[in-house]
Amino acid sequence: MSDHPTILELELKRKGEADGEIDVHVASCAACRTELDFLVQLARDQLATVGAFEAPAGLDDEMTARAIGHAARVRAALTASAAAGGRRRLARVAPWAAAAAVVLVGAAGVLWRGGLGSSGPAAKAPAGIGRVDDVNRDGRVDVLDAFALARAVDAGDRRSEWDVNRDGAVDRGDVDAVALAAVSLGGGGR
Amino acid sequence: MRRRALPTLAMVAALVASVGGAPARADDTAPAKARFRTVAIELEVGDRGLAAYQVELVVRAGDASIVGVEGGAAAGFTAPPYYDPAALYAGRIVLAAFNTKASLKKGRHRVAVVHVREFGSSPSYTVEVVAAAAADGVRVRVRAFLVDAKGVKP
Repeated sequence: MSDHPTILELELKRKGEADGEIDVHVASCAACRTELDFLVQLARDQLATVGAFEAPAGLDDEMTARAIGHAARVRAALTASAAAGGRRRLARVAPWAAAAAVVLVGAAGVLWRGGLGSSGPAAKAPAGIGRVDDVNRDGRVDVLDAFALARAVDAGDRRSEWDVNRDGAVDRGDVDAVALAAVSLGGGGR
Repeated sequence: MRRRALPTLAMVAALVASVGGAPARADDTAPAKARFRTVAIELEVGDRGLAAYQVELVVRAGDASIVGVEGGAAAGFTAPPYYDPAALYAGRIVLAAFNTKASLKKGRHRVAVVHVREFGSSPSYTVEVVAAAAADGVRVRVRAFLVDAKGVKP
């Protein structure tokens, strides 16, 4: 864990609102001073680009509420991401096992499709197949998966296979994780 | 130390994106003036009603980026929808929301409002429905529309 202030704390420092310990740290840390200088320059550039403006009353409270909500969503996304990372680590630990599985699944597919003599086109699996967040098993991850899971959770149906964020419980956190996967620009249902 | 930092989260993000994320322009000595406006997403709901939706908004032309998202005016859909924070300050965003307790009846409903920052002459946007479902979870078809504050297509 780093002892350096976060960028938000450095921003407070730039605005003269930081705690004393941040002042002390920055005074003795070249890296943080460099980052602080960057923020100062950024603020100047910002001013030059869009000009000064007066924040409306209540903006601070609204932003706080939004930031807290946003942080909760990001936390859920990170949890989901960590779960996916766990799967990736498994693949690194046992690449031979993954290769063997591919061979076995491929062989099973050939047999299932009618043996080696079959000449039909290979079926392409949809992106969502096999994903734990593809709750409705339609081959894609979208809001319908989150909605299906939310309805199930509301109805008391909490199958362990739906523990998407792997926290040991099937609850709204899993619903959020599925919804965030659905809207993720890096994957999901699109 | 972190508690006081929260209110400035969005400010810092805006600051970084306004400068660092601003699209490059040929003449940096005379940057175009930024405009901020809102684009509302409305859904035309059919007979079965609507309890869940997912749409994709894309900046099709012009110099614009998405800088914020809020909920709509339709009952049950006033909270901000789900979105990928990485979409902020970019030209594409996927929005999704659902409500297990309330659904929208037949008609046109405003479900989300997107804040955009624009430079230069009028950028254009498109919105596409990715998925939608009625209260029973059955997939339904809805049409999506973009309207500005005056109720016309941006």
